[in-house]
Amino acid sequence: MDDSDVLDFSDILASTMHDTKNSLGMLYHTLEAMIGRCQERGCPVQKDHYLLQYELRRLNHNSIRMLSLYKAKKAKFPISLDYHSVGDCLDEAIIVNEPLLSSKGVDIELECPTDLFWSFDRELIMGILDSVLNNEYLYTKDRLTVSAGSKDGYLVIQLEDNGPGYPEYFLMDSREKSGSAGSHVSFLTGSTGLGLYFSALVAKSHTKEGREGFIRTMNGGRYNGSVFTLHLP
Amino acid sequence: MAYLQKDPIAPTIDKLRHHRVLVIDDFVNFRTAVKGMLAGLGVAHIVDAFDGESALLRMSASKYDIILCDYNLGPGKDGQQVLEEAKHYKYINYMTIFMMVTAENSMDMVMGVVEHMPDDYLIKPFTKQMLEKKLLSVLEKKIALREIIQTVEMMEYDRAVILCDEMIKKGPKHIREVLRIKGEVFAKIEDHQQTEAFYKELSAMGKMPWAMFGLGKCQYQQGRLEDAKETFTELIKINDKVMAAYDWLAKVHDAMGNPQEAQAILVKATEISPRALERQRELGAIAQKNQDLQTAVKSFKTAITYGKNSAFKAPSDYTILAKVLVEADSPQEGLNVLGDAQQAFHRDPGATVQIGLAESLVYQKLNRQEDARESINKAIKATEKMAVRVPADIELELAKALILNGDGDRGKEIVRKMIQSNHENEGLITETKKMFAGLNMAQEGQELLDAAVEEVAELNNQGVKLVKEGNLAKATSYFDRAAEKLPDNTLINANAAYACMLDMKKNGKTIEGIQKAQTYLERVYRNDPQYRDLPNLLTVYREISKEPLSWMTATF
Repeated sequence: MDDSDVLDFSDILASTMHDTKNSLGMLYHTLEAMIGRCQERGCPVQKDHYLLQYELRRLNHNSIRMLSLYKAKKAKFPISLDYHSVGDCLDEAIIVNEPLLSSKGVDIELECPTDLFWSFDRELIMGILDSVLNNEYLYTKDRLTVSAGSKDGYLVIQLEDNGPGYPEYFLMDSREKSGSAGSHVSFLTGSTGLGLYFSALVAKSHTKEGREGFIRTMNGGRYNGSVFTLHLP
Repeated sequence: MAYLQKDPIAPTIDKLRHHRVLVIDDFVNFRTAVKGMLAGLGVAHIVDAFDGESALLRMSASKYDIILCDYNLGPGKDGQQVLEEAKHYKYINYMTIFMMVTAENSMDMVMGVVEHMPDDYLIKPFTKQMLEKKLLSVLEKKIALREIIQTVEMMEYDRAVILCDEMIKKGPKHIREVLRIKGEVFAKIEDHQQTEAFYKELSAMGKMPWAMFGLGKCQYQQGRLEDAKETFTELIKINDKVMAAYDWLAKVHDAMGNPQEAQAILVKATEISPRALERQRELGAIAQKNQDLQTAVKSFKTAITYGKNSAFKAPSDYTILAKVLVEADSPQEGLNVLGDAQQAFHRDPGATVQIGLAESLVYQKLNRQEDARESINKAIKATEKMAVRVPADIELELAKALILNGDGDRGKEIVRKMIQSNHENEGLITETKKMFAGLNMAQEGQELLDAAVEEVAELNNQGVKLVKEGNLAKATSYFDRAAEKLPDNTLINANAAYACMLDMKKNGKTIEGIQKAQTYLERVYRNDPQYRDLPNLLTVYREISKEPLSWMTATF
């Protein structure tokens, strides 16, 4: 048998992932409809539904990440830069995550100048924000602030919560090679680790005049919780 | 929850309630889910379709305000093709919201050229809130940019630039779209220096694919092929899904005298995106030029396959394939291809002309002279049908076949008419001269051409004289007759429009006069959308009528 006749295992994985993702989409839509009906009737099991929704979204983010990494390995990361209103993008990311977060009583605040515009790949950046916001369902207590502004030639988007903060081994600055996300194999076992690794990769692929984008995770901030920061040149 | 300050005139969901929505997806579950969301938003009129063909059929029967179309629709047309055909058939206009729905993210999708981009993308799975937010923001954008688009379509380019600048000054709300439009307007005015400076400045702030694309095109138009090559190569390196960049890079290589290189680039592009008809045609043509007949055959066959049931199918795909097959010593297969063509275009007399001509060439190769003559007769007979429109190059081919078959008078008459319709088309005149030279009729041909061009010029000058003398009623009826005689001549139709509009300005508008002006202007646009005097003619037109012309989509 010719080599070319053998399907590459990563191709099989990717195509299976693709199909899985479609099923996840259907599950998600069905669940959304159920939650809608539940709300009308005021069912007591509503909380469980939100947990299901959170997990489904996590699965969905994981599969998007897998597929993107697979594509990045196959060819390269195609970046589609364009000017976008930062406020509109953040607004959109919040709208998607709001039902889930408000079911837990989380108060989301957005601080962004209306005239803030930046060039970036909307889809990739929205993917990162969506994933971080969805994670807040588990981690924050009841507050979350999303803020954006420009500083030293970078667009800085920051998410601060009043949860317990990141465990020490998740604290990172993607500009530092050693000890950062992605460098430990064990680090990649959890979804959050892979998520950070992917976010760093997306940020890094945004370059301008020799400068690269990066992410940082810290503890503290205005609510003394976790702080996630995305910098784009 | 503290929100951004909202635009006070931003549309609300009430605006969407009365919109008619078409949902296109091959999964019934998904269609049901989306219909449920729309119903939840209060939309009453929702219709669905399971593939591109049935969607287009629905659009042909009634108008939809919002179209939610899945990109991957299974074996038939994909979402991009649905969008392009819907535009081609004018099923959708500027105010129609066309959203592309994608399974994962748009990284997987190829990017079409700017004119054929959907209004926005929706990534599965999406929520009701997301759908509402996206629909409203697209609607708001369309309302905000409508005046600029109208101005561009009216070819008031200076005013369009002013409107763009005003919008940019007001705030960055729609800056991306406004900048794009501004660049396109500069390119339309053909002010290369300004266009290049504009795109260069934008690219310096961030390598946006559309700005780099505009820059490369502008460099090509100035004949700076090395620069253009560099720009398009860099663009593909940044984003290998911008398919139009491959087409232009191939064009650059071809212009630089590297058709082999051009072919290699188009091969790569067709591997990424095989469904694009026009690209398969380009690849076929360049492969034929490179004498790579195998690739040429394959490309035209692919073009035929993807063109089936499409608005963009063309008889030339079959006739060129047949000619390539003759070159490749497979004339019999060529005949079969033309048989298929006849079936695919049996109701199109223009195609019959083209197919008959190709057939005669194949028969000649097979040494079947009788059949060859028979085919030519078939072609001629088709030209006598009512309302047949044959491209000029096919008419030239037909004339040549007639002259070779001993019907010189008829052939020359065809040339005369064709030249009179295109008396300012230098390229076509050169081609015609070449044909006559090849037939050893250079002298006779030249005389025929001179006489034909002279006759049109004279016809036009007489009318212009009447206009100058201020005899507008007489000038109008004079040009009416001239335009009736030469409905495809751009200059005559432009002047006919001018005379009748001037007449109306002076002596009052009439419904009949306005309709006439519209017909003439639309003919000018059909023949040459970049016609130099069209913007001026439209300025006069606006003074007498607010009715949109056939190519305007934002004026409903």
